[in-house]
Amino acid sequence: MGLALTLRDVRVLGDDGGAILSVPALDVAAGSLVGVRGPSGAGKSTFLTVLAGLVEPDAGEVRWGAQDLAGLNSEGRAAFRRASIGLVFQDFLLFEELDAATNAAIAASFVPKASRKGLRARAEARLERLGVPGGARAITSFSGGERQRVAVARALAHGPQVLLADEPTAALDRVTADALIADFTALAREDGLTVIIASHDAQLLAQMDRVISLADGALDA
Amino acid sequence: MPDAVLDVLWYPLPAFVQDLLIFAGLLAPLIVVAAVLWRGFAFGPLLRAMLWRYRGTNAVFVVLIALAVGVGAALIAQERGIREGTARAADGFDLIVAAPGSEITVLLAAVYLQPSDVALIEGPLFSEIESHPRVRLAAPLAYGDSWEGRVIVGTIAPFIDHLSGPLAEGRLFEIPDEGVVGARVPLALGDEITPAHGFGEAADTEGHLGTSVRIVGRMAPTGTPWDEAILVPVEQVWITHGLANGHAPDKPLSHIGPPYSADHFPGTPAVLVVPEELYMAFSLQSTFTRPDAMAFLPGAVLSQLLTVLGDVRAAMSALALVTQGLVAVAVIAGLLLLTRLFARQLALLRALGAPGRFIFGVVWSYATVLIVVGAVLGLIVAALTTGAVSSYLTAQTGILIEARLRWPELHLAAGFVSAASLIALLPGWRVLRRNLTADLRG
Repeated sequence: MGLALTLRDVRVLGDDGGAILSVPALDVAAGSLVGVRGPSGAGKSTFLTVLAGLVEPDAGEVRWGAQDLAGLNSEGRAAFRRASIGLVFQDFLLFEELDAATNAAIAASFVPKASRKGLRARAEARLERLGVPGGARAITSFSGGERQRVAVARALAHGPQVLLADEPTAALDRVTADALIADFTALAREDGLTVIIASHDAQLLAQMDRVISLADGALDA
Repeated sequence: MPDAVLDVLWYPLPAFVQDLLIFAGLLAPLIVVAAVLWRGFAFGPLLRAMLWRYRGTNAVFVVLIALAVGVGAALIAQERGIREGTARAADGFDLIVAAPGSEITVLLAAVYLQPSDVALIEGPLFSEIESHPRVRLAAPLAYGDSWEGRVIVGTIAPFIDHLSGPLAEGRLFEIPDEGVVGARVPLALGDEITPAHGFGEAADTEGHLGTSVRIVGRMAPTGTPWDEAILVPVEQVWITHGLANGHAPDKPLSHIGPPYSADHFPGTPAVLVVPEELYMAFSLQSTFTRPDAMAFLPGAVLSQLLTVLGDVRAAMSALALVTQGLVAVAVIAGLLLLTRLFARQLALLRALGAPGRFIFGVVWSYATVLIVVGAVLGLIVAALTTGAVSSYLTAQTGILIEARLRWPELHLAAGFVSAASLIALLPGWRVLRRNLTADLRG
């Protein structure tokens, strides 16, 4: 089951002291799918990095369920991501030298030994569910759509409660993107994940339960 | 560490155990860092991916490290091999008596068969040496001729037995026109040679035409320049040069070897003296160190020479260490740059929740794999190099040089690996200080 998100008075300041992200209040119910739209430079990626704990806001509260990220140091936030958050990036960020199965289960390198077998099994299952052919094939032989499916399998392999995706279909053609959106949303709903996706893709946003807008770093719910 | 503790705990240990413990101690920093960083993680797939991605650059780093370690280890091993080989070559030469002059010149001539013109010992002195109660063997070593680049030495049959033990084949010479060859001289029993007067390119191959020496025996290998020598009765050398034969004219030359007549002894550049007991060499040295004679222990002269070489060795070792240090710094500097190329992948791992220790460990392991592989290859390079150089030097000098890698070289490599792996902590530390989101954007 996913986690609920609560943001209060969140501000991230730029080098010049101006706010590059400002969210007075936002509540997302556990298990809901939320799209974030806005023009380039609106702060969508910054918004996601704050939610993932990759960037510590200069002010405010970011709470996932009962966990306030402000109360964690960088190692604590990493541990939280390791346990609860899956990340998908626009350009996949896969290790070209590793096969699909190893890429999808890359977190097995640093999770406790007792969890590795389960993580690898989940990664294999997700790859199969997402229709990625031949888990042992070299990534270099994969199409863009297949690569993004491997990246989604990687994001889900450790059994997160939250999935954050930054422009997951931007590098894909329409047909491939639509197929990915269908599988992606189906998987998220099956697992009851809380999903937040930043995207320009209207077709993707149309599949979300709710869409919020960002403009110049400010939330326009 | 206090001497009392060393006396109890360290000195009683066998040398092998001491070397092993030093080796382990040198590697300890590496092992401790690895144990701390690797605990609970599985680096294998990531490391393989990173190493493969920049395999060309990595290969350059490995070659640099291998050369640095290889040159250092080879220098040390080669120097030791030469030192041991030259010392071994002087083993049978307890005491040398010659006319006053340079000990080193006589040492090179008498022991290492690099003849040069020196004054001769005359008959009365030789007789005095030969008849001294503490002298077991007094062997004249007379040179002046050669055959196809090989020195012909006039001596007595017991010297051959002293030098190499029982012959490999044939028998000792019994008449002036017979000779015994060293183990590596390409002559067969029954072959006859005509000595050339002098040595090297200046040798006069027609100077002794009409003289012939028949080979009747071959020495067992000694691992010394004497393996390339041709030994003949000293009488043969004297006769060939138109001198007296060392014996009274009224005596037929059916007998060769001592005793010699002091009045008819033409002279010899050097005499090898073997005392009845080893300790007597010192008193004999004292006895025959006087205005008309020079006596020295080849081992002592060699030791003085090696002391000088020891300083050279220390300088070479220091240079090798400096080279290794510079290479290590260059490689780590290269790795610092290389980690920038990995910045996005490392940022991804951090974004996925990898602990800082894991990121640190990935970078450190990457660097350490290159260092360890380079060092191991360096030792292989050193082993091959010393083998080839030793063979060349043995062929050139006749002195058996057996340079092999031993504990000092392993200690050198272990020390290098450990020190470099500690320096390799730096790139890991730098990676953790990079801006994660900026790296994720690429």
